[in-house]
Amino acid sequence: MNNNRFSISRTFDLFRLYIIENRKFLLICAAAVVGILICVALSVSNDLNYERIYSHYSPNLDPAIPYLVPTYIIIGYIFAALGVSFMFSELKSKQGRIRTLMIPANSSEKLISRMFVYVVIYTVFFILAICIAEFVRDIYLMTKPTVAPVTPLYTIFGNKAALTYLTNDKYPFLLPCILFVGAFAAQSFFVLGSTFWYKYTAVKTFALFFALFFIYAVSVYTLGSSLSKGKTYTNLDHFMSNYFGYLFLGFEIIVCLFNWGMAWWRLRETDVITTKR
Amino acid sequence: MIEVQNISFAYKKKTPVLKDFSLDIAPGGIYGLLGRNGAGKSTLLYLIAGLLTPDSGKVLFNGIDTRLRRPTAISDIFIVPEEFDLPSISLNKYLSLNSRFYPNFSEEDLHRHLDTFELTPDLNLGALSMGQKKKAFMCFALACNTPLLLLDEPTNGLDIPGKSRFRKFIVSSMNDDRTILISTHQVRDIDRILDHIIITETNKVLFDQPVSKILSRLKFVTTDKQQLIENALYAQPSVGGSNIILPNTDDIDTELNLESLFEFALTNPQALKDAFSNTTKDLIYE
Amino acid sequence: MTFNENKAIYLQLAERIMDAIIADKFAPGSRIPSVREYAAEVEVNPNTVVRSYEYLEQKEIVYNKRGLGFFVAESAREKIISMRKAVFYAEELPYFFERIESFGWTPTELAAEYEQFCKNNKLPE
Repeated sequence: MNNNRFSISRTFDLFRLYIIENRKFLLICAAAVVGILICVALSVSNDLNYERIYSHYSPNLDPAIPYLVPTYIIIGYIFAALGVSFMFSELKSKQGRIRTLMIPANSSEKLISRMFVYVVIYTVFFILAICIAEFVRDIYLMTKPTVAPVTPLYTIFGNKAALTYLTNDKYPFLLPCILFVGAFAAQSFFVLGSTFWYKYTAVKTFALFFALFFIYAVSVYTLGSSLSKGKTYTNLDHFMSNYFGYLFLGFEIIVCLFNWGMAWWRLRETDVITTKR
Repeated sequence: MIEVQNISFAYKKKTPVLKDFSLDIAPGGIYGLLGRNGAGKSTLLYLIAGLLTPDSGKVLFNGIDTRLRRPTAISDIFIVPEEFDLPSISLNKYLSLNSRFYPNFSEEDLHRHLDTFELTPDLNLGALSMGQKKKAFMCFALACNTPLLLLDEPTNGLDIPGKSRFRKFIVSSMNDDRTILISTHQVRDIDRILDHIIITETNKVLFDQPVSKILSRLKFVTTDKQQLIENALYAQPSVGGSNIILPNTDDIDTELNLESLFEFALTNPQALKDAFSNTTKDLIYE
Repeated sequence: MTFNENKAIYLQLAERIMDAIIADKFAPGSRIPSVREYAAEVEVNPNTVVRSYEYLEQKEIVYNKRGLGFFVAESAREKIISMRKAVFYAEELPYFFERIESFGWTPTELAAEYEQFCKNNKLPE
């Protein structure tokens, strides 16, 4: 096990170490995510009038979906960024730095073991959390008289109406991909930020990348809400048919890789005493 | 084992902590790094461990630059800082999480060390006092059996029996493949267990010699004879007269008085250096 | 004795072991603690203990069985007593006699004092 090359078992050991030492923080975050999603789901459902059918859209479409989908996406983005901002919070104290830097493992292993929590586990968890929120919403709406259909999002793949509403005929997966990878791209700025600023990472990263972030937020919102207009938003076809969609996706992947790479390099360069000259 | 090659380091350009400093640390010894508070001892420890980047020069651990922080090198180095935090988990849990990173970790040694300090493996690390935390962590540190162990002010926070146990604990862990470097300003706590003394002051290393050489060059004597006191290299008043340092001219070793040596180094480093220059000894036999 | 020479630790440790041998804590032929054990007991660097043991070995008070440790020599007790006698004769006795002379005592007075001491402590005359 003891060599200098990247080792999966060492990365796993680091992962276990991180999870157990930060279990309280992670549980609180998880509870917060589920709690907020449930509140959103319930409040949107509460505000809508299920006692009539929406006249704009397909009569078989749950009226909450146009509002919930973009909102869930934005919450997903926000928590992805916030969570990862705490990834290296122990580096803010000298003792924490001594401890982390002296663990016998590569910087890449230390970075990947933590990112696994905030990228992979978070994604799976967030999807589950949406399912939970939707389930609660479903139960809640059963207590009210409804005329409009209620389709929790976990049944979406069996629901033709919702699917045709949310996806594009020509490129059914492109937009969801862009939004999905986009979350990691946005998050990757905060990954990089967490290797620079150990306190208030989220705020500082956000401030620095505000311009970029602003553009990003606008794009996300536009794309997200374009989902709410379904096939009738013709500019979207134009956007995607010129391969621009694929280029954008490629750009997002490059952003991820670049930021992660920079974060790895920053971690390698970190010294125990951060104030010099 | 450790070669510090001409390192220079400064926090601010005007006040260098180390300038073109070199040091060789061989396996099988207990090294004492002594200096007043703020004298740069911790800095030297961090440089050796690869936690700081020297401005010039490098530190090699068995030929590998420690700053590269290669896992194979770092798993052979363990540093116990002066202050540290432990997570709020049981010691057993802590071991199962952390011992895998150290290939030479021995559970048997750990239990032996815990017994020395009268601690049990199921204690909750979050609920310990500072002294107990230090003891528990040092037990773990020693049980990892790393060839190099760096201790920063290890006796701070230990009560008198704790200090005595600490000495026993360090001494019984020594072997030919291992080196322990203890950095402290509490000179009295460790004076008898050291093999080699390094003394630092704010800008530089004043002194770096093995104890055997110190005893062959200098005599440490307590006397009230005025003539001796006046001609001594260094004198410090105490009970029974003065503690003085004389050149060792008759090849009879005395007991090292580390406090006197330390004060001598701080007050008159040049005289101390001269006592160790090679010419002095030759002149005596001429 | 000219001044209070702080005896080297290795010699102090050797004296300590010799005291233990005289007091029969280590019987002839028995093993004395290993270097590391003894170093831990007295909280001293193991190399100092090695020097101490080598000194005792040189004086033929202990001997080293390779791989097993250090053992008390059969004639250790006699050797120690004769060593200490020699030191006493060379250093303490002249000092003692000088002091006796400074009080103005004669050898006969000294012998009488010693006889009284032996009677009080029931020692053979």
